[in-house]
Parts: sequence; structure tokens; C-alpha cells
Amino acid sequence: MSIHFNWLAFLLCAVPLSAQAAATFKPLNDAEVIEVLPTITRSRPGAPDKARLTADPRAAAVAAQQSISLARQTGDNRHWGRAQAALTPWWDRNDAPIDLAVLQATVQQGRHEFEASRKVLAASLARQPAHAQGWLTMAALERLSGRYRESLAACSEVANAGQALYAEACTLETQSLMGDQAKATKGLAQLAAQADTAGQQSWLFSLLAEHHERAGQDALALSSFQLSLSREPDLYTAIGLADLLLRTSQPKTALQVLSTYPETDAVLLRRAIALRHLGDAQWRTKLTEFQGRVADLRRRGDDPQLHGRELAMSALWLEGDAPRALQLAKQNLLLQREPVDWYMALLSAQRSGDKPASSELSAALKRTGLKDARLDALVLARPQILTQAGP
Amino acid sequence: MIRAWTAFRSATAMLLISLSCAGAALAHKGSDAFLDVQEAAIALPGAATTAPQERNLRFELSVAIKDLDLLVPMDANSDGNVTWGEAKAATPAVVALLNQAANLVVGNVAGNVAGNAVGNAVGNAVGNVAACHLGWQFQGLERRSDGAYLQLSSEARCPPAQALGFVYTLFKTVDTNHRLLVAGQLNGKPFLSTASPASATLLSLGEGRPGGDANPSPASSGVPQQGGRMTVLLDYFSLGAHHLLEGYDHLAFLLALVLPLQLSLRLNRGQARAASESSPAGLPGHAPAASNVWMTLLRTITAFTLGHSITLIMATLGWTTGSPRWVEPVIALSIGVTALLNLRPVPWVRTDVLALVFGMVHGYGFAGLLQEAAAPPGLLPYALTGFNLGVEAGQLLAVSGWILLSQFVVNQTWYHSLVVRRGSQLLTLLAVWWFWQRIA
Repeated sequence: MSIHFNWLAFLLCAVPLSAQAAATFKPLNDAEVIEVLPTITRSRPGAPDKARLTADPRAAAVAAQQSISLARQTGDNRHWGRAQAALTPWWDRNDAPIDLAVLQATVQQGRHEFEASRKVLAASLARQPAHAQGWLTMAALERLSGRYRESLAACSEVANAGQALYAEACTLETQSLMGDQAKATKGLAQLAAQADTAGQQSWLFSLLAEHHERAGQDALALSSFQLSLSREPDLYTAIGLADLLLRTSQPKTALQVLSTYPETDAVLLRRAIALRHLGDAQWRTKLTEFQGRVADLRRRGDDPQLHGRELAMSALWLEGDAPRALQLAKQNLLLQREPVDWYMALLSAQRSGDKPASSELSAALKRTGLKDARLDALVLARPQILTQAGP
Repeated sequence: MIRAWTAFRSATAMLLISLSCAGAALAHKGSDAFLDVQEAAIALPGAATTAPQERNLRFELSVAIKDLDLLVPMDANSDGNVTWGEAKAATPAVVALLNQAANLVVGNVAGNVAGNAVGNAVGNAVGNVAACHLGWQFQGLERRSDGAYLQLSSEARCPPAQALGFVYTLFKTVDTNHRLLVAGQLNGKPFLSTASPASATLLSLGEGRPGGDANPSPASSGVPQQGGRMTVLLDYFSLGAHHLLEGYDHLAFLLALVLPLQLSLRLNRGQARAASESSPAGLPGHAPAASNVWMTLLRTITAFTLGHSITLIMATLGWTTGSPRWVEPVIALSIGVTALLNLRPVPWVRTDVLALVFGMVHGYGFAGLLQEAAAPPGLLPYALTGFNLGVEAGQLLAVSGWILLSQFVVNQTWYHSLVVRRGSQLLTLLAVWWFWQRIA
């Protein structure tokens, strides 16, 4: 049945009461812990600190950075809103200190508002070209959009701004996406060995893991993911590992990997997929919860399409609706073009037996220059070049 | 990486930002508070008393402890754990905060009242509107998917026939993306809205006129809202109609049903031709005598309608369920079977019975869509009626379209051989293709 996305969207929109269930509870005694805070709040508005914060860009930057890091650790979007609040006096202002403008772009990137983020970054870097962090974020945005040449250029600006390690990792990651496997394997492993903090090692191993996965070396990817997580646990890396395990039919291990992480939407979705693989009926409950959360997003006025990757995964692997998955995945490619986004689109096209879509996607993929072993099996050998622009 | 600030930025922020390169796929909604409003229907004047009736409203608010901690010390000993004792001790401060940041304002609701909204609310709380003011009381705790929430409640008695608004400025300075999700009843009618404290506008709670508008114009947020029986009916009507017209498989099934009926609008010639060309007698439905061809159409369409209405209603009410796993392939199968029967009629198979049975399967298909939308409490009958009527309208439109379109060919001698047979063959192929896709 052709369930069109806009109609489903309407339906989700029409769920008037929050799908998020609230359960009343009563603690047994005063010592019972009822909530664990993500961080200890040291200063509150209204305290003398407040005035200082609004006047002091440095304090605002620290507050915003803390919220950004919490948003990443917990996957809880409320921290993006808090980061924005800390940056309020400078938000969208052309004369904002460059550090704060780059933080704004980071918040926007975290909320998948990539175009807005790019604009802010471009304007900031035009004002002050020697800003390593700004270029690094720009390089990431370019990679995300599948514009690898532009990404390489941004990486070299990171080097010009004096951040050799980050510039090299940036370049190697981009080269890996472009298929320069030998260079990336050697380079990333070297960087990881040289890195001096656990955090840096964890990050570099996660880059290496993703690189191995693109090169079709799943076993190496697995061990690199594990190395990364052993250095420092990280939600994003754990999800990457879970995806690898699900792709290689190891749902049980995927569940184990995710067991210690907060149930963000992305985690919830992977759990549902793993449970379905295992034939555990619980997957339906998880799917219902995921759909409820999408409805919640819509109800609060957010755009669920910003999470089109997850929507496509749900449509393809949980709802069994490949044509809708294809539609969602194609729409998502307008927003982000990471390997996994191409994977979802091509796989959905294949599953729905949509040859023209496969052909069109294959041609568009070829134009970006992305090389990924996972995609090879899905790409049509001789994509028919259509006059219509890519997805 | 020389000075402290730079070092901090390089060591922490650079790493963090480079980690973000993958555009972390961590969808999770932001911070929300939940407000439930309840107001019984306002009686029409003159019913019992001539005095205008007061508006009696009850509010229940749920706010996340995680969020409250940004403004009120919820974790007195700063160990990162909020205990029940700490939460109770913090409630007076929470109540004071909410009385300021979540309250009512009478009059001038439409106006944009930025910073002084709360001042207005307090200022209005004199004289006859003294009771039209919220004094929040701590009720207890609840757990939601993102953590523990404090529940507070308050009642208000407000003057009738005056604009009433809800001012919400909580977390305005600390979380730009915070939202208040409002649900409940106003004047006895479902009410739904979303407010954003950052946008500094008022949430209109209507004017409390007897029989008045249930869903006052969204003075608040620009977030779409739904409500009202007619709105629900119309929305679902349009949904049903579009669903049928965009659902190629339902259309294909309908086509397979009506294809053998020679629906000529030129009665005399059509009858004559149909009579001369119709297949052997005793095959009701597949090649009916022209005199009752329109009756057959009516019977068939009615049977299909009846069939899918039964399962749609049963599934939406949760009495039975149809898993898409079998429903989707069987829908494809229904097209194939019907088309094959056009090619090789089986005497004892009646088209209307076929339409009824397969209609029931298609009903599950519709329901799969409708189930996602748990309609507002009390509005489910309207949603169902609207959706069903919409499907009917779509169906009538499609069949009418076919009748008009077929006029060009229906009176041709080759109608049966070319249109019915070739068409049915194509539909069979299509059905096989869909079936294969849906079981794959």
C-alpha cells in the first residue's frame, strides 16, 4: 500500500495527547534517589552570576560548551536549548565574538540545522580566517554533505591555524571517504598511537573503525570500535558499533553494547531492530515508543525530518515499508550524505525493487566520489545517468 | 594551547566538535513541560440563573526535575542525585517560581505581552478576578521517558465573557528550546496547544462564552494545533479520500471489480451491445445482463464498502488486528484473484461476496494507517466517520472517473477482448509483482 509520508506525517501530527506516558510514583523514603542530574548546577540565573554571564562572553562560552558536551554524552536535546540560551546575547549577530559564533554553529549542527550552521560558519571564518575550531566544524559539515574537496580545503585551513593533529585527522578521514584506504589506515593508526589523552585516542579509534568499515574490513572495524569505547565510552561510537553488529547479524552483541547507554531515540530504534532480529516480541513495544517520540517531536513543533535517517531505518526494518523508507531516505539525503545515509537509500531502493531510484542514487553517489564497500553491493554497475538532478 | 582559555578550548571543545563530524544521530526531543487544563462546558445563560456563570478551571502542570534544577536548587547537597527529601524541601521555591512564571492573565490576551506579562497577571489579581489566579500546589511525582517530573495543580475561578490567557515564561532564559505542551478541555471541548516561552506570547484560553469556541486562535506559538469535532471530521475525511486515491492497490482492486461491467451511459445502445456481447449467463457479476449492470455496480461497491468498514472499525477500536505481514500481500492477492476471475469466471463466485471478503482485508490496510492516530479522547467516532466517509468519497470519485473514461471505449466491439481481458491480464501481472514484493 502506498502510504505517503505526508499522510503519515499528518497522522503523527494528529496524535493529540502526548504519546509519552507519564507514570505517577511515590518514593518509599526521603533518602530514595528520584532523579540523577546530568551535571551539578553551580550557578543559577538570579544569582550575581547571571549578570556576569550575560556580560561575559567567556563565561557564556564555557556554559555553552558544557551544555554541548552534555547534549553529546546524554543524547538529550534539552542541552542544545540550554546551550543556545547561554549564547542568547550573541545568537545570530554579525558582530558576535568568533568563538561564540562557532559555538552557535555547533549547536545548530547538533540540531541538524546544517544549512544555518554553514552560513554562520562561513560568515565567521570570513571575518577571522585563522580559527582552527571553525574550520574543523566546517570540514565536518562539508564531509557530512558529501563535498569532500571542500572538506579537504577546510582541513588544510585547520593546519594553517596551527592545529596539526586535528588537521591531519580531518584530512585522513576525508581521504578515507574518498577511497584512499592505504593512507588513511596507516595515518589514523599512527595518530591514535601518538595521541596522549584517552579522549583523543577514543576519538581517533572511532575514526579508524569507521574507516575500516568503509574499506569492508568488518573485523578490524569491530576491534577499533571496541578500542575506542574502552578508552572512553561515547554514545555516538556505541551506536556506530551497534549498527555494524546489526549489519553483520549479531543482534545479541548489539544489545549488550547498548545496554549501558541512555535510551535516546537512536538507541531505542537499534534496540527494537535487534529485538526483532532475535524474534523477541518486545520489538513492537519499542517501535510504538519510537513512533510516540516522533509524534512528540512533531507536537512540540520540531521537524522529525531532521532525523530522516532514523525514520527510514524504522520504515525499512521495523514497519516493513520499503517504498516509504526509500522516500524518507531520499529526503534525508538532501539533509545529510554520510555513508549510512546512502546505505539506507540504496538498500531501500533495492528492497522496494525500484530500479529507477537505484539507478538515480547510484549515479548521484558516483558524483560525490564516496567509496564504501557496504554500498558496492547495492550500487547498480552501470547507473543510468538521468537528466534529473540527484536525490 | 598556551593560555588557559585557549588550552581549554583546544583540549575539550576541539575534540568535542570534531566528534560531531558525523552529525550525531541522536534524536531525542528537547525539554518539555506538560499542562493539563480542564474546564466543563459553560451553560447557556438563563438555564438556571441569569447571573453569568463563572469559569471553573483546573490546571495540572508537570515539570522535569532536571529542568527545575537550572532555576531552583533541587539537589541541596550537590552530589548529582536528587532524593525524595531534597525534592520535598525544594517545593516551596518551585511553587514560588511557578506562581511567577506560569499563571493566568485576564483581558488583553491578544496583545503581545513580553516581559511584563506576569506583572499584568499579578496586577489583575484584584477585585472580582482575585480568584482567577493560580496558586500552585505540589501534588507528587511522575516518571516519563526522560526522567522524573514534579506534578503541581491549581484551580481558578475566572470571570466569564472575558479573554483569558496563560502566561508561561518558565526556563525562558535558560533553555531556548523549552516547550509547554497543553492538552485538556476548555468549555467542555478538547483543547490542544503548544507554547514556547522564548517567543514571549500568551496562550489564549478563550473568552468563556457559553457555547463558545473550543479552540481559541493560537495566540501562542505558531505550532499547529488540532481539535473540534468538525475539524477532526474534515481532517480525517480528507485523509481517507486521499488515502484511497493515492493507494494504488485499492484503486487497482476497484478497477478489477468494475472492469467487466460495461457501464455505458448511452443506455439503449449500451444495453443492446452488452446483451449481445456478454458472456454466458449464470455468471453474476462478471458479465451481467446490461439491464442490471448498474445494480451490480451498486451491489459490488456497497459490498466493498461494507467489508472494509467492518474491519476498519473493529481494528480502530482495538477489537481485532491485521498484521501488515499478511494484510499487504493478501491485498495484492485480492487484485490478482479478481482479475483472474475476470479472465476465467467461476460460476459460483459472486462478485459482491468477493468484494465483501476482500474489502475486509483492505479495511485492515486502511486501519494500519488510522491506528497510528489515536484520535483525541471522545473524538474517535468523528475521526472514524470522517475517515470512512473520505474513503467512500474517494471511491465514488475513482469509479465515476472510470465510468467517464470508459465511455470512449465501452461501446466498442473490442471492449471485452481488449479492455477487459488485456486489462485483467495487466492487473494480474501487477498483482503478482506486488505480492512478490510484499512477501520478499
